[in-house]
Amino acid sequence: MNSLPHPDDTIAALASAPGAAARGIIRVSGPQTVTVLRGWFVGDAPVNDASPESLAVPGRNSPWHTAGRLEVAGLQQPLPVNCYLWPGRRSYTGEPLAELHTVGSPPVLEALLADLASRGVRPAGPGEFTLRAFLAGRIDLLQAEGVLGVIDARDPRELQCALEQLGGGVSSQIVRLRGDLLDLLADLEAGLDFAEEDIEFVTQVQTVGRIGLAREVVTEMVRHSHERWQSAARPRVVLAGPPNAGKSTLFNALLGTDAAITSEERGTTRDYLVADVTSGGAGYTLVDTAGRESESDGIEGAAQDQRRAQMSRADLIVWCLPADDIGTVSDAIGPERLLVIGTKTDLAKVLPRSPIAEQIHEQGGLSTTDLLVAHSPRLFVSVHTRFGLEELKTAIATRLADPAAGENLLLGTTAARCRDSLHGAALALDRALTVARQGVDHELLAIELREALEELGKIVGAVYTDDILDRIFSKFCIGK
Amino acid sequence: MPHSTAYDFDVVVVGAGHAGIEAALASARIGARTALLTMSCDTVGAMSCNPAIGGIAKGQIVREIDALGGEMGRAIDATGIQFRMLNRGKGPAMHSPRAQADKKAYQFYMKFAVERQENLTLRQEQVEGLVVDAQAVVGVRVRGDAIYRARAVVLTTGTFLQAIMHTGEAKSYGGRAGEGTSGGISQALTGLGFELSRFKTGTPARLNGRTIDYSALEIQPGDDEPQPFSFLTDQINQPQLDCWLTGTNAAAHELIRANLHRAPMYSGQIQSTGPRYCPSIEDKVVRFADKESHQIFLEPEGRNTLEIYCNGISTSLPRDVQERMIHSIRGLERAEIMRFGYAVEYDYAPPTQLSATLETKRLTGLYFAGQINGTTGYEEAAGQGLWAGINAALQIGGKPPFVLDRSQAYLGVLIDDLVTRGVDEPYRMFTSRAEYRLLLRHDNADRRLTPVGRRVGTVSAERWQRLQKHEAEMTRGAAVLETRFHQGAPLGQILRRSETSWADLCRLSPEVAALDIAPLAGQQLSLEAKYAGYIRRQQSEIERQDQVQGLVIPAQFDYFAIAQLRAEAKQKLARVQPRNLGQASRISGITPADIAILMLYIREPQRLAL
Repeated sequence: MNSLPHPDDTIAALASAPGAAARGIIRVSGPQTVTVLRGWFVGDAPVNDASPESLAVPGRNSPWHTAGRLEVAGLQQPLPVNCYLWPGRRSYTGEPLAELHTVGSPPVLEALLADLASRGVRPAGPGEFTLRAFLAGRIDLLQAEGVLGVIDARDPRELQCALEQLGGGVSSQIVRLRGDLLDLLADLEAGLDFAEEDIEFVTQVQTVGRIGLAREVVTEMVRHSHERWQSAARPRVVLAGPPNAGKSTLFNALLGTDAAITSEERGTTRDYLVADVTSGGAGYTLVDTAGRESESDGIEGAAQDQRRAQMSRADLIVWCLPADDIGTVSDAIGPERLLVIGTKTDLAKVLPRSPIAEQIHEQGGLSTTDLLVAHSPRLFVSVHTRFGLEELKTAIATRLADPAAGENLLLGTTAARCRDSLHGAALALDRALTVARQGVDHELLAIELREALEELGKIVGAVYTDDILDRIFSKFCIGK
Repeated sequence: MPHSTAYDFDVVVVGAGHAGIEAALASARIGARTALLTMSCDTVGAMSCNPAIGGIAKGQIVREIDALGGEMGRAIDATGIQFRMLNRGKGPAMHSPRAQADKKAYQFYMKFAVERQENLTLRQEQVEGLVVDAQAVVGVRVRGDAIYRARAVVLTTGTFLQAIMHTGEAKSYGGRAGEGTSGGISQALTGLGFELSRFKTGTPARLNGRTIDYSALEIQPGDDEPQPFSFLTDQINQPQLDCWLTGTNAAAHELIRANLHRAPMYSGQIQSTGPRYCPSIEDKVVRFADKESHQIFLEPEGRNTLEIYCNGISTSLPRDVQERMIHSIRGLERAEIMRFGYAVEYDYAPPTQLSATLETKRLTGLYFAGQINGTTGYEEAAGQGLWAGINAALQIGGKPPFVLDRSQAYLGVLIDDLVTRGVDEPYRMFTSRAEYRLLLRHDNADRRLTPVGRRVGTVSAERWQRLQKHEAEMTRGAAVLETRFHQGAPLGQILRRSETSWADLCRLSPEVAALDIAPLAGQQLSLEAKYAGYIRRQQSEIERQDQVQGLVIPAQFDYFAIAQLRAEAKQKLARVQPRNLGQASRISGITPADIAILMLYIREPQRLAL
């Protein structure tokens, strides 16, 4: 059965754009809002006399506002927070609502959301704040439809992003894990519903083993998702292009350090390098990939795989076309994620002719500049002379600010939801393991497995109901 | 066309099988003047297939039917020849009563129950069509130029619609060996615009017990302390008969494989879908080729007959192959076949054409129940019959309909599955279909449903008093468990330990012993203590879901007026016409986003008018 979002739950979501920013906002809405904050939020001014309830005066439109601190699990220091509280029904959602304004660091915001979840405030589903605002009469139907009408279209993409953020291949991992658990559940259910058959569907040792294995996979995914979060919440800018295009030199220039080893030898960057950059008013994770090589053996092959994985996770790919060696732009990248630049423009005048350039020269006699124009780079950069570098920084920031390009920016709450579900699945599997070790009550074990499956199903958008019987009948000879 | 004879009733039930009997009895008990029409007064309550009642999930359904004032539980208690509680080794939610019936005694019990029921007329008639006025059914037409006028009609046609039986290459028309078919109703239904489809089911051969070598067989006795099905039965007193166990072997499998081309299921003679959980022996041999033997339960069909039912080898192979296969089996080397096995194909009406009361959406006052809805099983049929009969009587009495939720009863799961998702093979109940299995136990069916039955008028004074007594004992018991201590620990906590039984607690605490409550109440208190955590979890899950899932969708809701719904969602919702958001969410292919949009319009219906 699909679980429906419950309108009386208290929900929370990131309300500011995710990623490194000066300020991060988490919005909390629902009947428990005031209760959750009371006794947790400590105001800088003595606010205990003026409790949130006392301010819920009818007719009051502006929120109760004070600066203070929150003790957040997992953080060393109390977190400075500006709290805006609408304790009554006069909020955007027509129910108690709070906005917690704090520092815009992704790990901090993550910790705050996690702490809220432990206090019974669940991550909001897509469109849920809008739905509540509509039900409260705060926005009209047209506005609500505007948001809800696109849930269907937006959700799979957003989901895909979130899954990418959780780590490469998570989606297929979860699908596989669900398959294993469904098989186990089918075996257990068969034992319950077909007790008269002379079949041993699954032994206790097998059951314990299979649940233990599933638990390990989930643990691994939870661990992985935590590691990924920090870079995940920031947009990713990937430098790509042919070998020796000056990507690593550009990487260092954008970074302002010599973090990447740069050299004149082709294909020096065999692994990828990652650094957090704040420039041109934007915070992002900059990734330097290995150059495109045709060979695909050994370390080089692995580096190519890395590069492809990085490109698929990128919000923006800066494709470097060196003025001295015109290559081709990968046609697998959609234009909305691509920024083509010409590099090493200082070498353009003395360029040794590449075979391709040679060929084109012979056919049409075009100049190198013409060639660059033919591949439509928007920008020309020379790190050596610092020509165009500031323009590039601005261009990256501008492109990242465009929501159509930075679809990974949408994630925020979706990633939080996924991790919430993983956590729920882990707990259910723990309980399942306890029941399985006792070895008798398969119907209780089934309850726990179903819960784990439902949580995992929320992540990949699947429901289990029907296929249990299919699994039983395809596997066992049932029936009199 | 003028008819020479017309009879007037409130409710007419067509068919006196397991569905029809419960429908007619419930309708009459509520107070509607009811007619029960059957092709033969000698086949009321006939058991076409296995003469057994109950089983896993099905036993729970029988208990629910009984708790609602139905007849099935009492009938099997009176006529059972072997009682077994299945799944005893598992938790209490899995315990499922099952019993072999004396087939003829069961029929006579049911016929008598129908005959002595006030407000109920049993009559032998061959129904040929429906009488319809505008969009409502107003009666049925029978052979011999007569009509029965009624404000509600319940069709329980079983496997008799356009029925064809197959044994090898041989085909004959009829819904049960030796009986005919009722083709006229199929044509009438199609003529009225109903969609019909076809299913297949099968039955094994019956043997003469005198010719079976029992010394070669494994014995399967009944329980030492047989548990009754009905909450009104205190004890099963009649002696029990044994069943026997044998199995197929390589030689039998080889014979079947060599003759597959003569099996209607494989020769293409039968195209319709059969139940996967009840495969024919030819199916088992083909699909699970590496299995060396399949179990066969040999079950007596009664006390006053030697006829034996061969549970496990349902088949439609030709006669000669059936005979050779039987003779290749241990203990059956010289067994004589009394009736050959056969497969039967029949019409059913895809049940998404029904609302949650089992009334058709197309015609007011017309109800379908039992195998016509694509189910199998006497218990599933009886449950639907009861459901439809209650609703037919409530409808003509101008009372609100009777519908149970999935969290209330297996019957709720059954009906919701049928009308929401439809069927793609003959539908049988399994415990895994129920989300709240721990709550839907056989032991608490009366506490769950008897109060509902009392409200609609199917529960007798005696049944109600018994429940009151039981409830009082449970309350007294629970109070002691909560407030009394033994060596510093609350009694409830001690009872929660898996090794402590109610009897142990009685020994530990004189206060518990002094309660003097029935053993059943003690057992129930004990298991509810042991499973308290899980029971609470399921209950709070139900409460959480109810607030959203329970949002009622108005009748005649116009899904096509919502521009934001996907075209596929509009069509599916319009076809099923779910009564609440929960049912809508269970329709296959409906997404959470569809539900979110739908919720907007249900909570704020005036928006649609804008």
